[in-house]
Amino acid sequence: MREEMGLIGFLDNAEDRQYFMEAWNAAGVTCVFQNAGEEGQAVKRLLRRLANFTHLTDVIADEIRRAVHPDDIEGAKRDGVGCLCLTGNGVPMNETWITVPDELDFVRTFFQLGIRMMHLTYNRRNMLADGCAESANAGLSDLGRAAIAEMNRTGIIVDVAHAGRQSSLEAAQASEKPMVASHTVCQALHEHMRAKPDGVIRAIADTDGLVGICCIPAFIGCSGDI
Amino acid sequence: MDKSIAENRDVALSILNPSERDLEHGLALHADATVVETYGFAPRGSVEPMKLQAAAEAGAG
Repeated sequence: MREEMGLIGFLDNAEDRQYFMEAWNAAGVTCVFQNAGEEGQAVKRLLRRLANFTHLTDVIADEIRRAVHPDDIEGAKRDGVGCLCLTGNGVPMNETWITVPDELDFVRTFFQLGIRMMHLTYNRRNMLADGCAESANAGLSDLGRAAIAEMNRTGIIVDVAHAGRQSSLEAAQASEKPMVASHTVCQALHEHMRAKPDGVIRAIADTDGLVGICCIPAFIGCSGDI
Repeated sequence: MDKSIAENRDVALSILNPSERDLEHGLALHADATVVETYGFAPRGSVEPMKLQAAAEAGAG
């Protein structure tokens, strides 16, 4: 209950809901890739978080829709409404560690539920790859490569925003579809664990992918005081 | 427009200090564009203690 209240409690509060729409309209954004997951692979936890946001877009569909295809974003723009494209953070896994297909079975399920982007890791090491906070910087596991292949096959964008530098490079080299670092910064401009070096940025660009620059002050070496 | 949004807008304008013509042109470009935020968070709701307390007293785990 506490989690739901924190995530989508504004749906039950007319004042908060009005502020949300005013802020959305002031920003002039058409689509937000919305964090609708959390930091882990457990299917049950990821489902619960996702359900909050499918509910949100069901309730306020007249103002904010759920986008699952690029045409949905263009349609929202034409119709003068906003949309959310849902990203699930972690790759869902059974965590029984018996077979690779069994571990990745839920990737397609989450695609069918509307998820269109997933993080390989979240700062730390998991069974797929090292995250950006891991000093070993060890790159992808074989299971991580299989996960990328399954995400490519189903139509889920691979996101290395929180992955380590070697993991990010290897993911870009392994992905057969455009992939992203959705919210990162440039190491050449400011050293930060979440920053990507030029070689990683080039490798992502070589997939016809995208690097989104994040303006969290600490990431870019600023105080945030304007 | 919400007061806090308007105040933030005024701060930004005082820093950027655009001409009226540039501001109108820039806002028109932005309004015409399909803008995609590559990663974001919908606004959070506040956790309301009274509701939590009522739920707990009603037997919520």
